[in-house]
Amino acid sequence: MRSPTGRLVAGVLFTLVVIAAYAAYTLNSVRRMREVQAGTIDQNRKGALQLIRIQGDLNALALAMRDMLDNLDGYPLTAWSGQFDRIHGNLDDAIRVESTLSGAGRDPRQTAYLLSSFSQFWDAVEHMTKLAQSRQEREARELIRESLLPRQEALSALTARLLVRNNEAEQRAAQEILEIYDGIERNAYWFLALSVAMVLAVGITVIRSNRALFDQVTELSNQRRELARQLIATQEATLRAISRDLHDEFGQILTAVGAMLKRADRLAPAEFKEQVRETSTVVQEALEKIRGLSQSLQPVILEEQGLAAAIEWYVSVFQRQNGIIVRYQSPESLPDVEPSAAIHVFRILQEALNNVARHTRVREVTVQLQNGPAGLVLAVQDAGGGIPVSFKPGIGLAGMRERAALVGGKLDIGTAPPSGTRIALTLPLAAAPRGGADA
Amino acid sequence: MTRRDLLLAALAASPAGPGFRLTDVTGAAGLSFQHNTGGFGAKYLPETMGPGCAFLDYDNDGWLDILLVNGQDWPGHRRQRSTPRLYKNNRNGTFSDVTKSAGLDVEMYGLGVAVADYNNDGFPDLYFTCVGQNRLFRNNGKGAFLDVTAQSGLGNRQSFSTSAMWVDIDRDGHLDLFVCNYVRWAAAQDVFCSLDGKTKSYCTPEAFRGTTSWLFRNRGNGTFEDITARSALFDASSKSLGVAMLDFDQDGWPDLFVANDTQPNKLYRNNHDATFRESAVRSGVAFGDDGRARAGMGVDAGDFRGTGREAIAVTNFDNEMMGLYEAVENGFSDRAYAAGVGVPTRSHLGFGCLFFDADLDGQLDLLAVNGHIDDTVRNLNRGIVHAQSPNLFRNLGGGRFRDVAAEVGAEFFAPKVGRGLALGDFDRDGDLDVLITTNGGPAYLYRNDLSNGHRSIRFRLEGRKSNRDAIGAVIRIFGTGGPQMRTIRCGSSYLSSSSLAATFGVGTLSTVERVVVYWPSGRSDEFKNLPTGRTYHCVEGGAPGALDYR
Repeated sequence: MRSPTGRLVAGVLFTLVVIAAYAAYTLNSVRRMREVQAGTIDQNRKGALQLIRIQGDLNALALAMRDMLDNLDGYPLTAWSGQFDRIHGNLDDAIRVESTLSGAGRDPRQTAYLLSSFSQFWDAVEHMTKLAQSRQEREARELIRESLLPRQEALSALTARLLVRNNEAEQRAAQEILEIYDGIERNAYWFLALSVAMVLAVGITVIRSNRALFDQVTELSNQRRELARQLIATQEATLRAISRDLHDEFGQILTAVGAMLKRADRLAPAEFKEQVRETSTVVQEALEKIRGLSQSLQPVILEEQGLAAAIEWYVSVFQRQNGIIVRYQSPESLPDVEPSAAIHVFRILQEALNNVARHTRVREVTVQLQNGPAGLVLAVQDAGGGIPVSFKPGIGLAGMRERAALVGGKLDIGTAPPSGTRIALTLPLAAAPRGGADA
Repeated sequence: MTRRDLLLAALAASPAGPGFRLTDVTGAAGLSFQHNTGGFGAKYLPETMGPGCAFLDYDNDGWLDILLVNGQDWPGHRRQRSTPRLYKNNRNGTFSDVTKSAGLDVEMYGLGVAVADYNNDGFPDLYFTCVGQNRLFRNNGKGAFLDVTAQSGLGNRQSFSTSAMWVDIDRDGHLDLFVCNYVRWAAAQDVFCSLDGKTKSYCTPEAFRGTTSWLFRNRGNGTFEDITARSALFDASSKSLGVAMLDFDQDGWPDLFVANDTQPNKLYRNNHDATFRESAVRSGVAFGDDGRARAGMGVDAGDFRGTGREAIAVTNFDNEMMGLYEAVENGFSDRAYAAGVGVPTRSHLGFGCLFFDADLDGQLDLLAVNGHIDDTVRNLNRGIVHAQSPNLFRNLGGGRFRDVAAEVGAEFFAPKVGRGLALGDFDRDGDLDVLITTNGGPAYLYRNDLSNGHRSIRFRLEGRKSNRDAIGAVIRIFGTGGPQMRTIRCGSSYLSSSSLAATFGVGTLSTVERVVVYWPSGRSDEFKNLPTGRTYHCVEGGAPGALDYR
């Protein structure tokens, strides 16, 4: 099967390139907007504020000159000097700040004209003040009326024109920003579409690769299970053949030898009778051992009397052979278990008890057979040292698991309080064995 | 004492309570004043501006008397006779109307009053600000006042004057007079204004031209000269309502803060030669935080943080918040919002305002009286009403205040169309009592009833080389309670004059370790280990004489 890694890496790289390109584009757009914002709009607004400040001062001057002409307070014209000085200072400050903000966007001749107009206005004010100080009030008022007020009006008009230009420049900048926003929005949609397509492509590739991998794993698993089934079947067939050979061949031979030795005993002289009898006893013992071994390899009792009887028989054999007391508990009645499944249950019991004998020093082990809600449960529990942390499962445990899987059951291996080991096989009652030892 | 009184007293004394109550004793004191706006339906602008009030000891008997300014009917619409009212303190919590015997039974369209001893004879004199001709009344020392407007050189001036203040701007020992003028208004030039677009309402000042305030120099011979232009205070664009004296540059010379309505406030720095330099914009007090000129009404200055530098409080229109300009390195910064004063005053239209230590805990609190200019404001459904509750901001320390107006007395907190505000200890119990006037309504006298056991120390200064009232003097006290300062000032608030004695709250301290008096003449006197709980009469250059509270 072809690995998808290459295609996935390529997809991820392409996505990263797209993201990087879009990020660069966005940052560039933001930088442009900031430039337009700071360079034009903000500056224009600040400039406009200063122009409004200038207009306010010009209005204050107009009101002051009106008051001077009305002369309602009865104060001499020199009284307004402080007010004029304050407005003059404020105007100078506003014009200075405004000129730094108007920047390259304004024709320098306009700025020069503005400054020149103000300069002429203040020259006229100074002249008016001198007239007032020299008590030439009438001439001073005439100067206000004929010169200062028209100049103030001209300055107001000039300031208003500059405000209009500022406004126009601000509108242009706003339009430019609007276009940048449109570009960002348009490209955002493109980026979104491309991202969705990339995500879909990568997703489909991953799903297809995963599905292929799962299929492959399932196939391998089935193959392994079939192999295990065949291995176990072969093993069972071999054991059955050996058992049959032991029983049929060596059993018959030894039975015949026994019969011959009985005849020889009758015919033998008295001084040989003792030796013939001893030989006959050894042959009888060998015959029993052969029969026992044959039974262990392929318990006929399992086929003839069923699982419960076979377990009961094997428990007594194990107890006798290993000197370990087996506490066996079973219900009065057990459901029928298919012989093809019963052999696996029996083998699991054999392996579990042999493990107890091999790996623990316990003097007692419990074997429990019971009907549970999930099916028939066979549990072997000891009070040994439990499973060490460094324990690595061997062939025996693997075999038990395979046998459990073959009968559709479940094998749980765990600790038994306080410190022993508990191996439990759960065999679903309705479950038919997936494969038999004799398959 | 009723069960209710006991409960209220217990509440006031509880740790969570403000520790004092402002009890309405108007009726018990015999103050039956009713302000006459002269209103007959035309809604002339001056009708909604007054009146002011004053605490003064006109007969020098040691007990504070009360003066209430009044308007009058407009020409052609005469219905009643109304005059200012002078109430003499009977020394038992009641007052007697002595207007007539005191020579004040004079009709005028009065708005405010400035009280001080301008001729240094030991008796307080009166300057009434009016619509039309302002009036100067000299105290003859025999319980009566004489109208000396004409002979003092203050006659022949028609204006719409509001707050006024006596201040020795050239420190020559004679009190000069600063007069705020509002707008150029005359009944014949009145214009139609409306809040709801239908009915006529009182106009805001945008509808009228501004006019200059006045500064009159006291020649020391009972006459005054107009130095408005010469002192560079002339400003025909201003629409002034409140004025306060403070020494913001701490050079020992009195500077002036003028609160303008819809025009930038003005801060005049004293040039030491009877001229001033205006620096409100540069100092950051001309405008609100949003850069707009607000509707400045009342004003006061006080060192509420104990830094030795006075802050400026300015009441404004509703939706403008009170301004609380704290002194910073290069001027002032409006800290009203951060101090907790901004939000509670946003829906109020403030007029009189004063710093004072209401609970005598050693920290200046801030009182503002409120009330809208027009009763048709309710038609706008903006949640703004004509009669408004006062704000009493208790100083929590650290530059923070909390409005406790609702906790010190239901009658005090009741909405009213507040205008004038003055402070003085009329019952001589050591704390400061509150006098409030209302537009078109009664005046209210609130007795301060402390339940927290706090004490005060009070100084009544008498200048020798300095002006006799020692206006402009600064008193600093030092001790375990932290440093405090007071400036002896006339004016402040709105249209009103308070007692000139300086009252310091000292908590439970029994002694103040050190007291320094800086006289306007440049002299300073220092006193040590003064027991609290009494008034000290300090004569310039002499030892303090301990008196009972007065």
